[in-house]
Amino acid sequence: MVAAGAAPAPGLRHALAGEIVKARSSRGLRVILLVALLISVGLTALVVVGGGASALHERQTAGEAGSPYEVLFFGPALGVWAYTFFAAHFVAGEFHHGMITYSLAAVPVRHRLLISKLIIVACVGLVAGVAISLVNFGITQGALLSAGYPVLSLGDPALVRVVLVYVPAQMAVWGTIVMSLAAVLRSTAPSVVVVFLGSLLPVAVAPMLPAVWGESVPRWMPGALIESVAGLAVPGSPGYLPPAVAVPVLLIWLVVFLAIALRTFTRRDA
Amino acid sequence: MIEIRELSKFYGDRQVLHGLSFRARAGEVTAFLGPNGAGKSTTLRIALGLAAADSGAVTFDGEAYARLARPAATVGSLLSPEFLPPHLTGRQHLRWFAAASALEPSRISVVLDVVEMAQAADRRIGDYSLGMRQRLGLACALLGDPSHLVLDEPVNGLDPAGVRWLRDLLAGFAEDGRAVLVSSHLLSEVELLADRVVVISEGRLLADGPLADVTAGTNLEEQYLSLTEKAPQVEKSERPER
Repeated sequence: MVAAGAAPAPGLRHALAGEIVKARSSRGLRVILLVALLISVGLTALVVVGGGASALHERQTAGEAGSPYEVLFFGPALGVWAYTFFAAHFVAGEFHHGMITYSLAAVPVRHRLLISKLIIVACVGLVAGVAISLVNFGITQGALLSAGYPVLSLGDPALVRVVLVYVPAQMAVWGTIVMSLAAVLRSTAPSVVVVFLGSLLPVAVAPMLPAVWGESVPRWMPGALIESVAGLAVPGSPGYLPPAVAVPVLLIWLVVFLAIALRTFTRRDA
Repeated sequence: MIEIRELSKFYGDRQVLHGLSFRARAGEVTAFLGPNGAGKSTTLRIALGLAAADSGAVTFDGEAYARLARPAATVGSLLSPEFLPPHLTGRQHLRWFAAASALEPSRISVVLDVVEMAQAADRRIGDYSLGMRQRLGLACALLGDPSHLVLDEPVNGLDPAGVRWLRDLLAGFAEDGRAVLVSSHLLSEVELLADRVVVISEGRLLADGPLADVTAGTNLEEQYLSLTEKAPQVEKSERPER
């Protein structure tokens, strides 16, 4: 048999290379990702076609909470959660078929395996998020332009901030949180459902609780923090935190979920 | 050398391994035998870092699997063909494994030829027969040209020609000075292949020695059944604090 020859000791970059090959080779993962992208863009197109340019113009000039950029995010509001299925399955899928035995044979230093998956989920989320934002911008503003209505400009720094931060951060952050939970639960759908319901709960129960709850708690949740960082939340509103506070709090959320995931993933029997 | 040293494992309050110790030496094929539920697969999973021991250790030339500088180039393993990902092709599976293990991609075509799976490499693993999955699993185990092999029931699903091919492969592996640890229920095959035999039952060692010594004038099947039927009842032990 031909000898394998000298080769470097495998490290994080090799684990990452293996995960990239896995992700690219998995038709299921590609389909989930495509569905997320189609939902993010398709729903926006559907709203534009169904409501027409005048309805779009009305929302853009008098949007809820005063944001003129809201029209860009009809589709991504659902598309982000479709993306979390990709993130969850990327980890949980290893346990469905027992493939985890091969993954850990190749990468026995377990935190490297999880971190390499995290890098892919975050990077794909960021890149896809920017693409989705730009495509949605093109769809909505193209419809407005063709009907003679005023359009948003990418020369507006506030718009650029929203386009580059809001959807990309939503996908990367929720993807990371759901992926972390999937590393604990080892199951795709429950991981997505638990995080989704958890994200809704503080807002959903606010009307039934004292006003102080609604004015103080939801702003600390990841979704609201991202709106503050992206410049979508209106200063002084119940959902707003200054970016200098929102960014570190968001990082704390991520660190806590990742720490729990790493601890469980590295210690539990495969 | 593969060394299993004082290995104990609990699942909840149930102890499945009781201070198990034995060695699989370089240059030998060591057969690892025992009834269903004896703890063979648990031992192999601990050896590969898939499960944690409550006490004791498994080392490969003195090092735990997770601490090896080049794990897949040191230890080749085959646990179950069912764990191969059905949605990937055979070649895709070897490709990601080679990338993650920092192995030369050129090894992929080499091992596919060795296991005679080159023709089927671009078909989905989900479409493979059991024998084909075993061969692919073996290809993955050989990808790093390792100095140790750990195989759990490798002859399952192989036809008689495949069984003979595997026997020759493993014998050649041992002749090259490498260590082979094989678990199997096919005792007739073990008698043709093994240099050394380890028998366990209910997580305890019953026999460990050269094949001729263990069979002691009878045949392996008789001796195996005699050992495992006479296995003493295990006393309940306290799970150690972690």
